[in-house]
Amino acid sequence: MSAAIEQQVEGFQKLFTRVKQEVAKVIVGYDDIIECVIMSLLANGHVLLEGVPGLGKTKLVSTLADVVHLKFSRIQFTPDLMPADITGTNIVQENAEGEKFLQFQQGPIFANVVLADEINRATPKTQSALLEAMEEKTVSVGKVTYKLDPPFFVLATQNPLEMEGTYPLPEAQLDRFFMKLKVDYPTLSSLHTILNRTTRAQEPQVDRVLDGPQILEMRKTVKAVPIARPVQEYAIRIMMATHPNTEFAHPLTDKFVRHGASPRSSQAMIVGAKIRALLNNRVYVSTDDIRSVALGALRHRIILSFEGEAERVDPDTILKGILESVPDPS
Amino acid sequence: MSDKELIIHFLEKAEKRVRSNKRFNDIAVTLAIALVVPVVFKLLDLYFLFRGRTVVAVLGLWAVGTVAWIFTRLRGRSPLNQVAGNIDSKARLNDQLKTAYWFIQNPRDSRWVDVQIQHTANAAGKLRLDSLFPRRFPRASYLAGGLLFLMVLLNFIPISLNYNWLAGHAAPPFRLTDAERKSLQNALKLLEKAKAAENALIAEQIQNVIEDLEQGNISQEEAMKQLEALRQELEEGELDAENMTNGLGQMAAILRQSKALQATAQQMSRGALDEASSQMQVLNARLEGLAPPDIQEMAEKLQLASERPRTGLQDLARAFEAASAALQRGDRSAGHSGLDRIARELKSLAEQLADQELRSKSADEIGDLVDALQDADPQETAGEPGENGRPSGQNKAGQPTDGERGETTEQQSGENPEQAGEGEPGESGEQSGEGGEGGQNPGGTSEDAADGKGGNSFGGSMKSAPLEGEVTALEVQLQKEALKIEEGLGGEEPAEDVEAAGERERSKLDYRNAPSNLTPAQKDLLGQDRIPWQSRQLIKNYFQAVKPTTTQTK
Repeated sequence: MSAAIEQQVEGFQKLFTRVKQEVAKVIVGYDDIIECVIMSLLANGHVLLEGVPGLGKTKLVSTLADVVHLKFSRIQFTPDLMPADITGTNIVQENAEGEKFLQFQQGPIFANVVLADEINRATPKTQSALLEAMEEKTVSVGKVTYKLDPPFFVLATQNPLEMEGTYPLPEAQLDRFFMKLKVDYPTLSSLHTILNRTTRAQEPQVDRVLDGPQILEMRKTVKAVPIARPVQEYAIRIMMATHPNTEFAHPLTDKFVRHGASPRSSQAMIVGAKIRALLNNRVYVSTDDIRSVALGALRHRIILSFEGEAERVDPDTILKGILESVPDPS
Repeated sequence: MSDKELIIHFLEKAEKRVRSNKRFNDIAVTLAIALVVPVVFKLLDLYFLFRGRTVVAVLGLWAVGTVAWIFTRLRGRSPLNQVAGNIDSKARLNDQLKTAYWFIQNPRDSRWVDVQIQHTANAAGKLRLDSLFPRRFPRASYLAGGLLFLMVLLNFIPISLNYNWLAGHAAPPFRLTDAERKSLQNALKLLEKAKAAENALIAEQIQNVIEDLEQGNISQEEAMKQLEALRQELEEGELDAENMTNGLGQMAAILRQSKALQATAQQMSRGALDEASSQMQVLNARLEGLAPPDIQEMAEKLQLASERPRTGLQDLARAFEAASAALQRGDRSAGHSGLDRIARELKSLAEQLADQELRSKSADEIGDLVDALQDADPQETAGEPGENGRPSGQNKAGQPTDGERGETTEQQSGENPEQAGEGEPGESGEQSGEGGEGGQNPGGTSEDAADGKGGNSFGGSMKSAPLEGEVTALEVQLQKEALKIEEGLGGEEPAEDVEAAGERERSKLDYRNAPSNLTPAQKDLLGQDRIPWQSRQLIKNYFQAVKPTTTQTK
């Protein structure tokens, strides 16, 4: 019994590591980002990548799609992009007898890995076209609801610099992302490696090491990892600490936060922590695991108050304060 | 033993170790904090000198409080989940034990949970409690030990006013100052020297009174009352030494007129009664060799000296009378016996006078002690609120004047009584030597003297003081008047001292034997009231100016 579990954990670690290694062949210097992206994939979540243009966000997603051997589609979000451009639409078709009928033409959302590039450039109406797909894994067009093939994984990118002509993602939309990852500039040594790899005649090729069924199996493994109530309570306490003017609120929260994180954040923390536990060869979740995923799971789920916005408070600062103040469960 | 039991057993063992370490640490910390109280209390005691009752009360409360606090701290056990968390953090187990314990307490049907518990049991088996929770002296124990050492050290500081609490000593409720204690010791020494048996009893009573006072058994007022009573008891049996000395002087003056008795008389006039006794023995030995006229003369003078004896000299006078009678009868054997009796009486008198002097000085010391106690400021009892009496810590510096006085008395007590009269003015020992200068210490006013109520400056009784002749009256009545004392006034006449008239003719009035109710201590005090040197010339000029002129005198 023990051996089977250990074998399962070992298999999980191996596959995870292989995917990571393959992606890292192309994407250099972003090991943490790659790991979190794979974690989100295995946690049945979606990722919002934030970073300035040219850092390899799109490349990361496309590489991942190649590695996991899944159907990949890319949507370039623009202000004139319509919801139907994402979900698809019914078009008039004519059969051999000359009869005309409506046929649903699938949009780019019908893929396993969807890259929503520069998602904040589209209008909120278009952005919201992703809502149902991201949460329910279905697409409703007219009176018909189409189910998306699992695994369904959305990777959205947004540029934090250009605010003109952009539409910040609504809170409901943000909450549907498992993690929000900040992509910073690579280090000097990483840049050398990037240049060496991308300016040669032949670019590195990646192998397909993971397929859809394996991903689904790995998701089952993740969900099987047990968590003790004290550790779970720790995650809840962290989430509660982001709620201003409550019993557990952190002073920074009271000062700079208008709305705290939703229960989805706790789910994200715990699922992410479970993956961390497996990666650390453990069959239980620890508070360290919770802490390691807390920033990515919470930073996009707290809404700053006017004061916080005015003082340009980084949500990470508030979250770090919370992580330091919430005591370990006894 | 199953994995779950193994984990629980390990946690229980760890809990015991944690608890014992915590108890040790708590005790050390509590003692380190609590020991500050007795140390500070002891430091305060070096200045305030707390009574034994106070020390016992405070230290008792402290001990009870400390024990109660330690008891409350040691009660209860740490929950196992807390111990598990503690071990997780120490052994860096990433909440493994805590999670396992929670799963043991909240079992669920999951293979993953079983594996987790199994892994945890394996990990727990590898853990060593000695390395996780080593038994070591907490830092606070060093501090507590240091404070304990300081406490012991403070108790053994060799300071006169430091009482060793560890030996069960504490400051008495009342403590004599150094000066008072010196007075007491002087008095006791003097009483010890005195031969009278009752003196030992009085000394013991004095010691008991002081002991009771220091133990708080009696109040300060009660102690003063008892000491005063003892002092009066000492003075009650007192001989009128001055009167006796004067009487002996008169006897010596008479005896000196006999050739055979000159040596004895000389010693008597000097107050050396022991020597006088020896001389009398010598005379007795060579009585056979004396010529009959000398014997006759001796008998007459002895008879004359035996008349009107002063108080305390009656036995000697009777011995004189008996010896005189025997010598006049020509009864040599009775004469020998009479002279021998005189010698014994003289020796006895010498002893009595010496004993009396010691008793008198002792009474003076007791009087000083009572005065010092009376002068003690009752406001200085702040160290012992609510206590009647001075705390033993006050007046540590002592009262220098008392101390000096005590020393002076002590020195004088060792001196030969014969030399007492040679002391400087103001010394207590001069009273015997200067008692003859009665003019300076009149026992009463001139009116009193005229009424026959004049007091004897030496405390002699009225009945025993024979008066000679009529009462004299001063020729000069002192009145308040402005005097013009010019330079050279009286210089035209032959210079004559005020004492010149007295030297020409001695008064026959026994003014020195005037009765007085003053105690020797009071007399001593009066005797110290001298004319200041700077005023002596002025006063002399005054008397020179008011004295009768030569022509008027003639």
